[in-house]
Amino acid sequence: MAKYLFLVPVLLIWIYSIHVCSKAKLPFWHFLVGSVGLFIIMVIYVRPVLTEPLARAVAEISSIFGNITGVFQANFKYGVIFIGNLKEVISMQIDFECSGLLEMIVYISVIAFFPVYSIIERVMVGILGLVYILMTNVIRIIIICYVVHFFGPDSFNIAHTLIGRIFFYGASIVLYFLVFTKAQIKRQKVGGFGYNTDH
Amino acid sequence: MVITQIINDILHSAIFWAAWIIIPFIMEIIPAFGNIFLLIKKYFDKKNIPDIDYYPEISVIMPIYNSADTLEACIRSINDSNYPNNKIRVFLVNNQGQDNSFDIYAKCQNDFPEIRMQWMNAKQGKSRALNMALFNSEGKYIINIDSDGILEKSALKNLVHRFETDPDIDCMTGVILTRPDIIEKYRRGFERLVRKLEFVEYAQAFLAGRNYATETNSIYTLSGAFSAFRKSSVLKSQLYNTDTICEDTHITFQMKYLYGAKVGLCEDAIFFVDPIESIDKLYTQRQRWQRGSLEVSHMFLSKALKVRNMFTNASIRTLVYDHTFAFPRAIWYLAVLCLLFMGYSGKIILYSMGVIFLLYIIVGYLYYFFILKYLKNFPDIRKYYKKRWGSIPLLLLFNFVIFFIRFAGIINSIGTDSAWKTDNIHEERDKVDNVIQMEFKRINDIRARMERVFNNDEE
Repeated sequence: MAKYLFLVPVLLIWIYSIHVCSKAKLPFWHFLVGSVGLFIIMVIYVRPVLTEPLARAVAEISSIFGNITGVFQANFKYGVIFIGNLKEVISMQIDFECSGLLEMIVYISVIAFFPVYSIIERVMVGILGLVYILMTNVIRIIIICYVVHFFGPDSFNIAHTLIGRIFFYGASIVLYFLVFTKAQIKRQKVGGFGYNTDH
Repeated sequence: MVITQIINDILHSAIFWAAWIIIPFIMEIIPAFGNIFLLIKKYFDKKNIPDIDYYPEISVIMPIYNSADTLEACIRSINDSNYPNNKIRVFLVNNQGQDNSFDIYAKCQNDFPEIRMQWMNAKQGKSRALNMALFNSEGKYIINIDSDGILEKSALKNLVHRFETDPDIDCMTGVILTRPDIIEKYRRGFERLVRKLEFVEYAQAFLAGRNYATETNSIYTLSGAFSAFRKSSVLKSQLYNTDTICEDTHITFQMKYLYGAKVGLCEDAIFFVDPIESIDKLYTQRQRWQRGSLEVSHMFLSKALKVRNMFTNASIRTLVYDHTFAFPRAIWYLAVLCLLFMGYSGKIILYSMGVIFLLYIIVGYLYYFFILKYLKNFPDIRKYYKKRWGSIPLLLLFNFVIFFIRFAGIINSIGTDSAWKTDNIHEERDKVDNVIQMEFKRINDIRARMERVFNNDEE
């Protein structure tokens, strides 16, 4: 529990650093200190609390699809998925890595301090992004379950480490492209400069 | 089945378990090997084209802005080049500089009488200066060079040779390298090391990066310091744009997207510039480059920002690598340390980073090897580059720092127009110091006031 004793001073130092960067009009340092700080704080303090509920939610949502097709089922209480095939039943535990929580934390950390958007926009785009990450993660789990169902337990590593991860990463890049790149390029200001700066 | 088993075994091993091997491998290492393949192919496809026996007239445009210190060396390098001096016409376009550049020009007219030189005065701005000279140039080819560098002896001839023998190409960038003689004047240690790394970085960016990009017509920007055009092509364009700080990238995009021109690298035309003056300068220079590329993307790609174009449009793909990836990457880099404190085993993270590091180094050495091949006609510079073999692993560290500077450029571009003055590191530190001092002063004032009130009460 020692880590909770540090929470208050850590928060104070972080908030004060953000305040200084903001007052000194240093947008980059404001973003960096804000985002990285928020990431670290969330990983240490929020991750342990949210991992299990999120893992259960992912298992539960995935199982809706699994139940319909009869390929896999989920145990909500333990966040475990049971994949049945002709010969056996394979169980798969949704852990921290599979929950997509880390990806969500990264996304929240970036969007919270991304100055292209107003505060309200950040909240809206933030929520939409989280739903997107949750749903793409569910699709990833479904893909893994299907591969394991059809190709057996030996295919689990390929399904999980390769196919699932590439899909999830690709989906994340689409999100980041639309939320960060497209928004910034569209709103980029051009012109109005003199030539007395360095060459 | 055996193959599946092997793949499974590899995936099962602790090293492959970590996410940060597969993704960088697919996104960076595999494309890098593809690029190396293009370099090999280009090298072996190269035919020996005989020398040209006719030298057309060329116009060299040189924007001047307080260039007194460097101008003479630059003009001398034109005079000393192996292109016939009577076929070169130089336009020196002063854009509101205040120093004695004109006197240097007048002296050069006496010292180098064979070269026809013309002084012009333009409104403020490099783009305006370039445009003014473009209107007035009569040469078959137009070559822009900065006044703070020097041409390699055969650079002009090699450019013209390429234009004359490859009718498809409309504009080219030369190779920019920093000057080894000046690098070696820096104090041994950190200062010189940074300049050596910058030298290797330039060599890699041009002789590898733009070299393979030429093969797929995906060069993102011609170098503003040394680029060349067919006059017939460039005069069809909208000329240099005066709104953006990156007029060189803008004209590259114009040529590519508006006129379907082929943009390439002339790998045997070298222009030497001074190494970076200071870390502060590096910090603002790279941010300015990043800002410029975002501005030009805004001007040309705003309507093309669709997900499917990530696969089909080379400029969108560059944007994804430069901008989209930068966000998760910045957080990840700094968060790796944090992850060591979590359930993740430090050993696995270190192994993973080690494998990626090793792969990057292998790629770096493959580039190094091919750059040596491409430098074979320049023995001195090749020798200097060859000695830099130890810099290849360190370049990763240099690129890591540059990544953060460019990322700063991304964030600092938001909500500001081109007039935004980028602070250097010292100015940023001063700003932070000022804020903290002001706040402590305010706290002290409040404390003093309370003390006074307290003391008055006591009295």
